[in-house]
Amino acid sequence: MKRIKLIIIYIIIFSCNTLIAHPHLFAGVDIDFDATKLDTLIITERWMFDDLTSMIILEDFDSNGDDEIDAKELESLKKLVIPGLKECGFYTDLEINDKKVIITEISNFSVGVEDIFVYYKFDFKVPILISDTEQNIKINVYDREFYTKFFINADSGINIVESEEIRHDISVYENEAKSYYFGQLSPLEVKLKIWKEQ
Amino acid sequence: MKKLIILFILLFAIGLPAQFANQRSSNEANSAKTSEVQKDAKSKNHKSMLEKNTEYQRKLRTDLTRNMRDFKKDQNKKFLFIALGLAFLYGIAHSMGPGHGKIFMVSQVIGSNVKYLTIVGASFLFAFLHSLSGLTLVAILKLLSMSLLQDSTTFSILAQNISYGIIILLGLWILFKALFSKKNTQHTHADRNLFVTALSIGFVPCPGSIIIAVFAMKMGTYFVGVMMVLTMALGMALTLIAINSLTLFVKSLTTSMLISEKHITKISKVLTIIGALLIIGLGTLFLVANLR
Repeated sequence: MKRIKLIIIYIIIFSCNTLIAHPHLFAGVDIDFDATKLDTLIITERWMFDDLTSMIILEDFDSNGDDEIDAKELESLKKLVIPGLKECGFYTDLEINDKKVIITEISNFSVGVEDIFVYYKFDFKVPILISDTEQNIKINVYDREFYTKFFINADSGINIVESEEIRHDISVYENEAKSYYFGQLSPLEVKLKIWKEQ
Repeated sequence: MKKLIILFILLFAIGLPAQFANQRSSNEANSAKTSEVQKDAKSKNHKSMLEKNTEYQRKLRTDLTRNMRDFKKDQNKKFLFIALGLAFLYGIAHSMGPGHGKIFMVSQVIGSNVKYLTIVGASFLFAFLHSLSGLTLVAILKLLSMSLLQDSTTFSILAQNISYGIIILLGLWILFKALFSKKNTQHTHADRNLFVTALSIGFVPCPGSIIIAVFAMKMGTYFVGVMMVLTMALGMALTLIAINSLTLFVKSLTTSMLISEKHITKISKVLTIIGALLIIGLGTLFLVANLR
């Protein structure tokens, strides 16, 4: 019995020591779905960084110090940031009807400052045929290495625009099957079911 | 009595992180639901300790920057003291994560006969070196007009690789000594080795202190920035002392409860070998992961 107790204590000490992590950057994520066309779904992600991260981004790229990222500054930011994001698949896991889709290209990448917070915004197109059969889209945004912690704004940050004949259902839940970082974290998964009304 | 001590440790180990767990961002608590999105009811009550700690860190950072901005605006020292207190708490919460090389110190505490005083010294050395190297890196990058976001990461990875290399060599040295040395100099070597570990992992710049330093620089409050980084380091040092002392305490307790006097020397040698193998193994694992 003594041995069991001591083993438990060791496990707890090691858990406290090694499995509680430290992200260094934080970002809130909004996801918008544009389902106004039947053959393409456009997904827009907006990552709003926290105060400290925003300051570092501005310190690095806001060369004229006006607390904005203008067109010229955006170009140098894109040159430096996009290749890294591309390598990580834009930290986005996408599945269409249970098939994994790797995001390699994005469009309309922009950087803005809202109040004191910097945000990145970009779109990507999902080739999907919306018909009377239900289509399932699952999306997670997370950094496996946990250097950046993404928080999906499940309360108000997930929106959809659609044409009249389209119906949808959105749910957000923790997907434990995709747990990462020593199994300590489970990403929030956004599931969109979309179909055309007959 | 021993049962009581065990219970106390158990409660401490579970209770400390749980303290952080109960702090929740007011934004989250007050936010309104949209009718469109269905959320899994379990999600919010089913958070791991790590997630709770992360939320707590996020909240601390928000409060810290708010107080610093208020201080800059009003020059009211009350805000400065609150910000320093928050930096201290941030140091505690931040250092509870991996990536700060604590596992190497714990492995040594388990594997060799270090003293409590050595733990205190090595923890302070590590925490202050780790934080101040972050501060120095920011100054160098700014002087050379390099990118803080990209180049600090590149430099950190390089420093980590060097650090893991030194750790592996140290592990091999401990293993060699344990297997082939006939002299009983374990205590002196163990204390020295813990300091070597603290030095080799401490020079890797702490991204947390880099971020705080940049913030202070941007606000034009350089001296306050240095104070905040040092306060953060103090929080880190105390956490490390607590974790390593607890490890040493439980190790001593285990030894006295389960092992008889005559077997202690033999067991101590086995523990040293296990500790050395753990250090070599973890160092190699982290180095390979970084190089990949």
